[in-house]
Amino acid sequence: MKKLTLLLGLAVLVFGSWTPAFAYNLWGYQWSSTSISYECDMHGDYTTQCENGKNDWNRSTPVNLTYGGSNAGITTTAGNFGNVSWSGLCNLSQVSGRTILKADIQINTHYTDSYSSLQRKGVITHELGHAIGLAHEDSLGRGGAVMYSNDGRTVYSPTRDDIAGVNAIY
Amino acid sequence: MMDSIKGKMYPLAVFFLGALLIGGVYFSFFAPKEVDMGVSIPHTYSDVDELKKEADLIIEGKTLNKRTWNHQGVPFTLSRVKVGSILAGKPKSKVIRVLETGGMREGKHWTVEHNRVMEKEQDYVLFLRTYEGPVTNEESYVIVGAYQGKFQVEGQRVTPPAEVEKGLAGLQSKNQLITDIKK
Ligand SMILES: [Zn+2]
Repeated sequence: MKKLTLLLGLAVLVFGSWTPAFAYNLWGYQWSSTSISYECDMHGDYTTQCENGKNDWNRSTPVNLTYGGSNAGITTTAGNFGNVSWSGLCNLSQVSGRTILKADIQINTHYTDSYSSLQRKGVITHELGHAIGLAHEDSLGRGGAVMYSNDGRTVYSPTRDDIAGVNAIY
Repeated sequence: MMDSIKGKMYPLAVFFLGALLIGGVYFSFFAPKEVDMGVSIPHTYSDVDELKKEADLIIEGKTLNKRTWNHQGVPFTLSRVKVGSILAGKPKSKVIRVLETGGMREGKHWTVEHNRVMEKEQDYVLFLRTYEGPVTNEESYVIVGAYQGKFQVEGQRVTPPAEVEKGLAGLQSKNQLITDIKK
């Protein structure tokens, strides 16, 4: 009987030790609450488009982005990183398990300075989508989701699909 | 039940479970984890032809060493690559530097579309462009399409990057890739 107990005990430990190992590879992160602080630490039209993107997510989803100053959960910054082949990047700089504690968005002006305001808004709204917890959606094509992976997207606000995604998370 | 776990079976089962437990603990608590960064990219390349048009230099080479640091909160890695064969263009030297977004920081792999930066002492076929920007002062190249123009080489086989278009994802033979490049 002792032997069986040891085997079962080991089996439980094995299961427990392997389970969380696979969660990390997914983009399955989310905030602990739908009320998330943000800051658009940018200039000129970038600030305008960042505010527009933020308003879009607030209007269409349960997420409520509220101004949080320099200690905000989501900060959006614009700077020149050169020709590194990304126009926007969202770095989950602090996570606890699957919970996002801090998300830093960088907009690469090397590309976006020559974009139209609308395309710029598309990149920022896309990155805010990542910061909220969405991954890419390419199967619906350029016009299907603001989470379309490249800047050839033809929508610049969250679509029904993006909204359904946020609703599924929160 | 106990009758079936008898004799040699029992120590084997304990050994097997013990090995799995050590593996599980290692992967959960000690192995480097992966954190993907959510990017928006200017362009998705559909095939070798498109990558080729954008590249200043195409080589097969071996990574020597690398260095990772944060620039404005974003991890970047600069790898030194020994040029093996030149497939197109003219490299600035026999050992070149390649700048990639991501890398190993705080025990985690920071990835772009689940692509890790190049590994040390590994062969790659690389589509490169001269880097223009402030992340490094050292003369360096970047990979066309961030991760899209990077093929890991193992003998005669190549592994295309993750999350690329069908025209690139299907490439498996190094000969095929080189034929496409030289076409
Ligand atoms: Zn993205």
